[in-house]
Amino acid sequence: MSTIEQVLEAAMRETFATILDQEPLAPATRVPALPSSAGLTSQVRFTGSFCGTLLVHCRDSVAATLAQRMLGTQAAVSDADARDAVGELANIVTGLTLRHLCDVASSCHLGLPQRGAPPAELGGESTAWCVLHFPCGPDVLVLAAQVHPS
Amino acid sequence: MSIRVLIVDDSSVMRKIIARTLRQAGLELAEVLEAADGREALDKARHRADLDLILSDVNMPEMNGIEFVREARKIPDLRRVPIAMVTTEPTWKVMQEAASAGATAYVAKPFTAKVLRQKVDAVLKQSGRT
Repeated sequence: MSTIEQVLEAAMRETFATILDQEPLAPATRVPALPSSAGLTSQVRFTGSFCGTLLVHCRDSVAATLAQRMLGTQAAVSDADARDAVGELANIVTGLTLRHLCDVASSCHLGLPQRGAPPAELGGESTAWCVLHFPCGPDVLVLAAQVHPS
Repeated sequence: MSIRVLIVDDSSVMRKIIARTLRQAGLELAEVLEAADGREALDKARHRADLDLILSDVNMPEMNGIEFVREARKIPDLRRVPIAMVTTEPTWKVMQEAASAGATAYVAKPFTAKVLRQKVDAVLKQSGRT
């Protein structure tokens, strides 16, 4: 049986392999923490057979690189595209995470990706973390999730 | 074959990914229209019976993809245009709602160029556009 952390990592790897044709490198060993105000954060709430929140956070420079790779360009991208890329990443990873947890007959509904401060419950002891090195350089992508069966 | 396609998604990055993936899959796109939600899609497509395909997200603000399909099927020019839902929520509930509203097919995100091409080919063949 997979842990939520393993499911998060599998979902992120599948997203990278499919959308970006590459994978994030090895899991980072640093102690995760909720994101500070620096960088970009996007979170998706979900309800149904499982409910909770999934958050993706990265530095601005990582978000810009992510957007460039998603768009298939080396040209500079706008801040809006960088925010959009992180939001879409959160959306897809949430969808894949729920597909790993639920069968197709289950009912799970995703909210729209939101920016802003994480919900208060995220960061507590029951939060699942996944921190992965972004390909190229020392930067990381942070995933945090609270997932509860309804 | 060259096709005219409308891509409906609230993420501009995803709209561009879909268009790029269609091209990577070997499809020639004669025209690509984009809309950020169902309402904008209806405005842009209302008189476009010449569209070969509409690819629509499900979860969008303003008017979601299911509502968009339901409204599009009431418009004579869009009644026969195939609409494939591109969604992170491929559950039976969503698929049944989409099918009831008049959607032709669905594609789960994330998708590869190969999968998207297979779905598009099937939808175009089913609608007699190949």
